[in-house]
This record gives sequence, structure tokens and C-alpha cells, in this order.
Amino acid sequence: MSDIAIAPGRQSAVLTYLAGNKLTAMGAALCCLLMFVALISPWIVPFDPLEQSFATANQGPSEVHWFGTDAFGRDVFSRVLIGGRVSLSIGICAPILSALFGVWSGMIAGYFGGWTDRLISRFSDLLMSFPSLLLGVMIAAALGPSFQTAVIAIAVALFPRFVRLSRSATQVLRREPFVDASIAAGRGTLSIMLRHVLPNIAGPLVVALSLWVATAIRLEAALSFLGLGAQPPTPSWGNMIRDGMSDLVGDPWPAAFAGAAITLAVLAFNMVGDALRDMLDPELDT
Amino acid sequence: MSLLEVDQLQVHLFTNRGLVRAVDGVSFSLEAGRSLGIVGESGCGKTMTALALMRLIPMPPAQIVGGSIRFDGEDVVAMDDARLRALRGNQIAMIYQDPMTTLNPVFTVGEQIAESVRLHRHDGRHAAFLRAVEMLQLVGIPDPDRVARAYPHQLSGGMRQRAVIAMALACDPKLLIADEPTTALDVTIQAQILELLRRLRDDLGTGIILITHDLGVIADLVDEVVVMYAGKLVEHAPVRHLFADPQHPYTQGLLRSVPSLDMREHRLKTIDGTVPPAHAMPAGCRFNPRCSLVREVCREKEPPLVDIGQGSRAACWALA
Amino acid sequence: MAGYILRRILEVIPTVLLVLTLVFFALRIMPGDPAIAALGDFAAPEAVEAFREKLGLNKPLYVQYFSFIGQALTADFGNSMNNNTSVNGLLAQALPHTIVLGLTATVIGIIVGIPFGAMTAVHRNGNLDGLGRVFALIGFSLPEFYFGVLLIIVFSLHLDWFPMLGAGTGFVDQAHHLVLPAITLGVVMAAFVMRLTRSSLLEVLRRDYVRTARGKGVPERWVIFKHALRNALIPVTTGLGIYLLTTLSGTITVELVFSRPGLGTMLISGVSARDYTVVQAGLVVFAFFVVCVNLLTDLLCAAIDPRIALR
Repeated sequence: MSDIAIAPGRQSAVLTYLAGNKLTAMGAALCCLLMFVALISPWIVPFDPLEQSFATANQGPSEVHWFGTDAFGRDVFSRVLIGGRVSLSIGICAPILSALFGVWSGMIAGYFGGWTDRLISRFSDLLMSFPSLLLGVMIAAALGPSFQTAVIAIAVALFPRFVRLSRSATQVLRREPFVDASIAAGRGTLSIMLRHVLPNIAGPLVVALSLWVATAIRLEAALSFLGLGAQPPTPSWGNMIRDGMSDLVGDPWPAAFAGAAITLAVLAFNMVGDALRDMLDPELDT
Repeated sequence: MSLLEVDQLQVHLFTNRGLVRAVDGVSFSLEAGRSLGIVGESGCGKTMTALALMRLIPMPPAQIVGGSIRFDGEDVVAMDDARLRALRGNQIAMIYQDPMTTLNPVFTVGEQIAESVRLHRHDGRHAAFLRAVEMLQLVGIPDPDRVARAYPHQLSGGMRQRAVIAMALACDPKLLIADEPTTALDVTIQAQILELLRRLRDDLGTGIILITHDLGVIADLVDEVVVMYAGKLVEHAPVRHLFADPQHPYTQGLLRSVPSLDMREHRLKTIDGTVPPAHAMPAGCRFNPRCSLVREVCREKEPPLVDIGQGSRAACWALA
Repeated sequence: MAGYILRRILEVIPTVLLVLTLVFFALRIMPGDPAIAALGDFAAPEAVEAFREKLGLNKPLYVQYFSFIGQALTADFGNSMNNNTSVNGLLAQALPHTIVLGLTATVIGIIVGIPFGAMTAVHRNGNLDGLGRVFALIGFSLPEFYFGVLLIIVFSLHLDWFPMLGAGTGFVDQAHHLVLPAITLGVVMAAFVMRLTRSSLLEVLRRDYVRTARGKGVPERWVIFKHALRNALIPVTTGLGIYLLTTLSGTITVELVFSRPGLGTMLISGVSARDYTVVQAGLVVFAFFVVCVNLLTDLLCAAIDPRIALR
């Protein structure tokens, strides 16, 4: 388990590395661009993504409608932007939520050991033995399709990864003498764990988050494609492809552009995650 | 014609930090049935020399850049791949340092020994297996039939090393190269393996090249010794002469630093200084920063290897 | 070895029970009354009540639980709430399509992925390796259902080489319908398998026993395909087992893309119709696959690597 943390001196190393490796820099730039655009999208969309107009339905890309229009006459470009907001927020919130619960559970498991550990580990392993999409479908089936369901479903699917991460780091640190010394000095277990474990897993955690954001975006797309995520008329990249399926012959553009957006986002976050992993710990196994 | 003639062998390593002359102009020869020890500290180039003899050096970073290696008259460096493969495991065989990683974990010991036999002697499966069992018995493994059907991880380190030796000898090689065969083993097992090698040398008459950093190992086992330092051959002498009357200052230092039970001094003797980093060798004689006999010329020019009588050669300005 | 197999199989039992329990509770949380979902919003209260009674929804929870476990273990899934047809019947119709799709995709993934991966490892940093890297990147980033849509647009709509809907009838027709869906899933799997094989083989080629093999005069092709690859395939098999499950869940979306009948389609339509029994059955069967594949992967690994069974 690595105990490389991102110390202040390393930040310039990050920039140096990025400067040297063009592909990675492009990926990182793309990620930032995507997140920024998603953030400001409501203010920069040329058309109302929900506004329907049968007169302009099923058009291909043009000067007015850059990505064309869909079966309801809605501007695809605007829908891709707003859909991006939805997809990316789920894609980013879910791993963060997952990390919050997962890191905490892993710390508890690693620190206390015994039955606590066994319980948490067993549960975590069980979750991990299921393919993420299947878990997502199960949870979405149970909770009913919605934006929030998608976040929860993906968070649950990613939960075991974060548990693993913090559990092994905590176990290693637990054996260090200073932990017992702190306990003897009367410090609470919480503060010990937080102060020592967090900096140690910071590096691998950042790598994990970045890679799992890519996975989360992909999962969200699949869930909303299946109709189990954000519901229409709210656009998300996945449900745009779903809606687009019925009209592929006449108007493949909504599906094509939405899908391209998904691919681009996943690619960008994957590249950044890979680069971060190479940089922080080449032997890390997420 | 000697069995093996190495002439001015040069192996270079191309690393991130620069060029490393791992083996820099090493020459020696070996007659059939004789044994030679190559001695030196870690990193002196002895393993590289051994690997070069069969062109087993890892090719991306390392390369044979000069000199020749003649085995039975044929030039190993220049020969084509097919001929080289016919030689390997067949006329020249090697045993390696770490028995834990030398054998393939997914095949039985017998299968791995039999592979050599089937490859070079074109024996059938059954005949090859019998030969494998025979070889395992030769190296002193009890219940060789069972061991032949076992996987490497089911055997102890000593047994594995014996199996590796059995594998090397399976096709009756004329030359056996042993690269630190006992370094990774317990002391008691070491003694057993050395005893085995001694017996094999006496019974089979195979030529042996033994690489080691441990002087105690070679005393009983080899006829001649070559001492290497920082990629260079510094002394070459019959074993008794080397131990009785070492000529090169480095050899003298090595022998002095071997502790013995009847020592009266309280401090261990060492050679001052350390081996210089591989990519930043000093000019002139590579040992000069650590040598007590150092002179001006030592810092400027590399000493040539000269004959100093009694079948010995050494490279030192103090002797030239 | 036999001991290991027995142990592994026994370990499956608590896992299965745990999973079934989770499925049971997942469904009980489902929003909406299944009776109303089945009978409609305007159904008479008595009918709703009768329906609930018939399905045992009024019984205490633990009774429902045990009857559910019993049903699941004996593969008796009752009748679909919506149209009263036997769920087992629906399963029998749907399963073969999913299995055929999954298997074909896996075969494609292995046949393309392993040799491709091995070659990119051996010819490291060559042109082939560059191509492989691009392939892998795309395979990881492209959602499989989007890939399917693209394939439909090109090969079905523009070129009209392959059909875009359904599973077909008759052997040849079914094979024809299978091509695009299988390629969709297979290519994504191939990218994964290729990367895994490559890194695994590169790692193995650095090991000492590879040098030993060369030192015996073993021809280079044997060194790679006999000595190295067999060791390299051990982590590939584990990875494959895990990825098999991803492919399985991929069938859910791909079936939707191609409007193919199958387990995924059955499950999803059951979810949107709030058909309790169908969803239940779908989840249980999928869970069963997960447990089986995990078990088989472990056993296969033990067979390839003799060291595992002795632990």
C-alpha cells in the first residue's frame, strides 16, 4: 500500500509532468472544460432544451442548430449541454458520496478488526462480486427511477472500492507504535484515524476518484439509457440515446452526439486517472 | 584447442544514467574437463560475463559490443540463432543463483528436465522422463520418481537447486556454468550443493565455470581463478597460487578480509573505500582510489594484463 | 484439490442466502403497491385485496421471506403479475437468447483479445502496440450500448447488411441477428482482455524462468507461448471471470439496443411494469449467474495454477 501523499512540493511536479506529456495535458484540459461547461450550461445554451417545436423536428446539423434537432424539435446541442450537467453531476457526486461512506467504513474495519472488520469486509466483497450495472439496476428497481436513485445506485456500486483502499491503509497504520502512544495519551480514536490515515491515502484516493468518475459517468449513461435514471423531460446523455433509438432511421443525431459526449467525458477522466496513477504510484492497483 | 576461449570480451549496458562498461576487455580460456572460478564483488561484471557466454544477457539494456567467445572453436557471438539454440542446454548449460525463481511454476520438475532431453536428443516422452528421473537420482535426490512428478513449489530450496543442476546436466554438456549456485541457500545446504558439484566434476569430467563472491567456496572446487573488479580482469592464477601468494592489491585485500576462526585481531579487515558507481569509473586503473600501492601512472593509464610467472597473470602497474 | 473444490462450493451457500435476502428486501422497498400496478389505478378495492391475498402479500414478513427463499431455491417463480403467464415459461424463453449472446461475445473477446494482447507484448512499442493502445482506450471509454447504436447506424441502416431488431427465427436467421449484438459486446471485451494479456505477459517475460527456458535452447516461440503465456494467463483468467460478469450485465443494455428478447429485456420491462414476480425472478437468476461465474473462475484458476489449491 502506498503511503505517498501529495505534499506541497509535489504540486509543481504535477504541472511539470502535465507539461511534458501532451496527451495527458489534453485529457486534463478536457476534464476541466467539461466540468466548466456543465457548470455554466444553463446560461450558455442557445435554445431552451425543453422547448418543443414540431416545425423543426428531425433536422440534421445546421448553422442554427449545431447538432440538429430531435423528434420533438428540441435543439440537440442545448440538450447535450444540459444533459452534460445532469450526467456529470451524477458522475461526480456519486463517487464523492461513495468515498465518504467507503473511506469511513474502511477505516472502521481496519482499525477495530475482529467482527466489525469481518462484517464490513464480507458485505463489501459481496457488493464487489456483482457487476456494477447489475447492482445499479437492482437498486434502481427497488427505489424507483430518478436522479437521486442513480446517484445512490452508483455510489453503492463504487462503495467497496473505497472501503478496500482505506481499510488496508488503516490496517498498516494501526500497527504503528504512535497509534498506541496516542491512545495511551488519551486521544480519541477518531482523531487518530483521521489525522494519520487521511494524508496517507490522499494520493491513491485522488487516483481512485478520478478513475471512478469515469466509471460513474458510464454507469449513469447506462442506467438512464435503461430508463432508470433521470427521467424525461430532463435530458441526460443516456436518456437522449434512449429517446433517439425510436428514430434512428430518420434522425440519428441526438443519439450520436449524446453518445459521443459520453465517450469523450469517460475518455478524458480515464486519461487523467491513468496519468495521476502513473505519477503518484506506478505500482498502485486500484 | 581449448574448450572455451574468451578474448577481450566487452559487454556494455545502456542505461538512463549513461553507458556502463559492465565487462571491459576480459580474456581467459578453459580446457576441457578443467574448472575455473570467477570471483569478485557484486557488480564487478562476473554474472554478465557468465550470461554472455551463452548470449543470455538481457538484450535491450545490454549488448556484447566487442571481443569474441569461442566455444569448441565456434564463435558464439557471431553464430546464428539456430546454432546457438542447439548449443544451449546441450553442450553448454547453466545453473542460476535463485532456485526459487529459476523453475517454471506451472510445469513439473520432471517435465522441465525432460524438455531439454526431448529438444536436443529427440527422445520420446517416456524415454525423456526416465532420463529426468535418472538425472534427479544423480544429483542425490531421494525418491526421484516422486520428485519428478512434483511441482517446484512443493520442493525445498536445496532440492530445487539440485533439480536445476539435474536439468543442466541432462544432455551431458561439455561446459557447466554455475552462477552463484549457493548464494541463496542456507549454509548447510550450501555445503551439500558444493559437495555435489565436486562429485560431479570428478565423476563426469565436465568443464565448470563457477561464479561467486565467496572465496571460501572456490578453494576446493576449481583449478584456476579469475578475479574481477569493476568490469576488468585483475588477476588470473591457479587456485593454490592465488591463495598462497596473491599478486594484485585487490586480491590481497579480498583474502585479508576473509575472517578466520583463529584470528587474533578484534577488527575485521576491509578494503578502504567503495566500488565506484558503474557509470562514473575513475581514469586509469579502476582500483586506484582504494589502492595502497597507488602511483602516478595508475591514475593515468589502465595497466595491461601481464604474465607474472607460474601460470599467473595480473593487471597492476606495481607488477609490470 | 478435491478438498479445495469442496470448500469453495460450501462457501457459496451463505453467499447465495445473503444475496437472496438482499433481493427480497430490495423488492419490498419498491415504491408503489404491486397490486395496483398490476390491476390498474381504477381497480375495485376488493379486487386489489383479493390480489394481495392471493400473492401472500398480507402474510407476516418472515413467512413471505421463507416462502421466497423456498421458491428461489426450487426455481419456482410463480406467475407474472401482469398477465398471469408462468414466469418460468418466460425465463425459459428469455434465457437462451441471453446465454447465447453472452457466450458468443466472450468467445469473440478471447479469440481477438488474447492473441492481440500477446503480440503487442512481444512487439512492444511497435506499430501494432500503438494500435492496441488506441483500441484499448476506445474500448474502455465507449459505452457498449452506444457502440451498438453506431453499428446499427452503419451496418443496418446505411449498408443494410444486418438486421437491427429481434432475434430471428431459424438457425441461420438467428445467427444473422446475433452478429451485431455479439460484436458490440465482444469488441469491448476484447479491448479489456487485450490489455490484461499484454501487461501480464510483459510481467512474466521478465521472470527468471523465462531466461532459464532460453538457456536450455528452447525456441523463442515456445518460450513465449508455452513457458510464458501459460503463466501470464493466470491473472487473465481471473480478470476474465470478473469481466464475464460485466459482459453479462452488458447484455441488459445491448438487448435493449437491438430489441432482442432475453433476461435483461425481461427484467427491465418487469421493472417498468412493476411486475414483482418477474423482477424477482430476473434478479435471482442474474444473482445466480454471478455466484456461478465467480465459483467457476476460482476453480479454473486452481486448475491452471497448481499452487492455489494447496493454500
